[in-house]
Amino acid sequence: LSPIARIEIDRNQCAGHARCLTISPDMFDLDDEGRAIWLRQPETADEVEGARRAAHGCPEQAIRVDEGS
Amino acid sequence: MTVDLEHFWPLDPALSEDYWPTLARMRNECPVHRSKAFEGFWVLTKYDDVWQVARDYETFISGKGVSAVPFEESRVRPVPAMADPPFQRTLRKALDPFFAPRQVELLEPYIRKVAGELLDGFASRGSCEFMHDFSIHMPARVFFEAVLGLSDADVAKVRAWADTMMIDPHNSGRAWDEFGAWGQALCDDRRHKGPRGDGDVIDALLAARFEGEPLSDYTLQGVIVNITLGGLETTAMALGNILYRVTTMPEVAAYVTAPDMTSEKLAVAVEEFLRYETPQPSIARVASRDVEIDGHLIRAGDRVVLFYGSGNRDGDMFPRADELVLDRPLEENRHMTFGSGMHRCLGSNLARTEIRVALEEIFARMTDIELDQHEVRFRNAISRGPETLHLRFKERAR
Repeated sequence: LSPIARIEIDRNQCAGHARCLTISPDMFDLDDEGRAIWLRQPETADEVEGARRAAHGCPEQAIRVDEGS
Repeated sequence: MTVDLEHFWPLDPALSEDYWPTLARMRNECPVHRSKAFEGFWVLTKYDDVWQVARDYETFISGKGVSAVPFEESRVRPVPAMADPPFQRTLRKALDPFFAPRQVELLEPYIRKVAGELLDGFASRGSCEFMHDFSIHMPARVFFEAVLGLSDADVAKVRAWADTMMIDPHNSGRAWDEFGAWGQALCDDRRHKGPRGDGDVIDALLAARFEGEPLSDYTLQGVIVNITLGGLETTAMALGNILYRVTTMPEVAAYVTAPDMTSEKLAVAVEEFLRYETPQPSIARVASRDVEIDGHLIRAGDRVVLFYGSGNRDGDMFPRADELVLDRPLEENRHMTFGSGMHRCLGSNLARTEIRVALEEIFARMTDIELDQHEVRFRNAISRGPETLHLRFKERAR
């Protein structure tokens, strides 16, 4: 199953605000250093939407959601 | 009294009287402004400018001072706020885990208990002075008891130092020294007794190494002062700001106390309260090289004030920026109340939880909350909130 969109997190930009996991708790978490990680890549339209909302709400604009090919 | 923009400075009493209109004027007329106050400094008031500068930690450094106004010098410096990488990263790596969302979640029952105890102390009276009966104590008790593992016996002393630093920074050298010495005593005591075992903040600081060496005493003092100030000051002001809105805007009171209010919806509203009124509205950086912002040449060594509170009201970033839109979606509320970039407020997630839980406990006990004073004065200090907030209310039948 190829993901329909792909989440990319720029760890150098992430400052650990934790907004992504508040907005989309199923898809994001923080690692031991307090930086955002994705828990899964989106496989449904709802998950793409959740990932996009998290990306949009990121105060550092550190998350990108690219359309799959 | 109109604010003299040519000599603008954040603690100008005239600014306090005409706060939001002045910042709006600056965003419109001079978003990259050169003030002649003190030795001269730049003031940025647009969201994008503030955001870019806050993230560019190599061009705009923190190690030469982060205060928007002159501070009386002390050997105790607030770090990690006033530090640059790689040292700043070392300190944050030691501290960040204690304030991560999962850690804060574990503290929530304790936060609720502290809030409840304080409120039960005056709920049956039907009146309170919210700032000194509740707002200032709650975050202080949580920080002292749950984070530092101390009783709240020293809170009054620490508050006095914090007030001096916030209200009268030009004469705060002694407060910094004494506050630092208090932090030193905490560390010395721990060194003497050995690690606490459950690995708290003090243990983590004593175990931290930078370039192979333990942190110096002045660093330890600076960190303890920095995190304690953060724990005490801004959350208290934020709660005061919110209760001021709740008691002066009926539609706000109706929204937050509606029967269908949930923790999730209240958390969303808290973000909007935080955007609308930033308890620590500005911070500074110093340029490490010549750099241009919107056609203005900022020279190496120039101080640059980042007005987060103004960026949060920038209409180019937020639709209806001057309105309190309590259901503003989180993804559209990228406010800078906790700063931006690597210096992002260490305690942001603790603050969010404290504020939401405090509001839940307040509304569980108090109804028909009204302001019981003619005019609310906002204190004219580095942190911004009501000086006093006399409230009248009915105790909710439980």
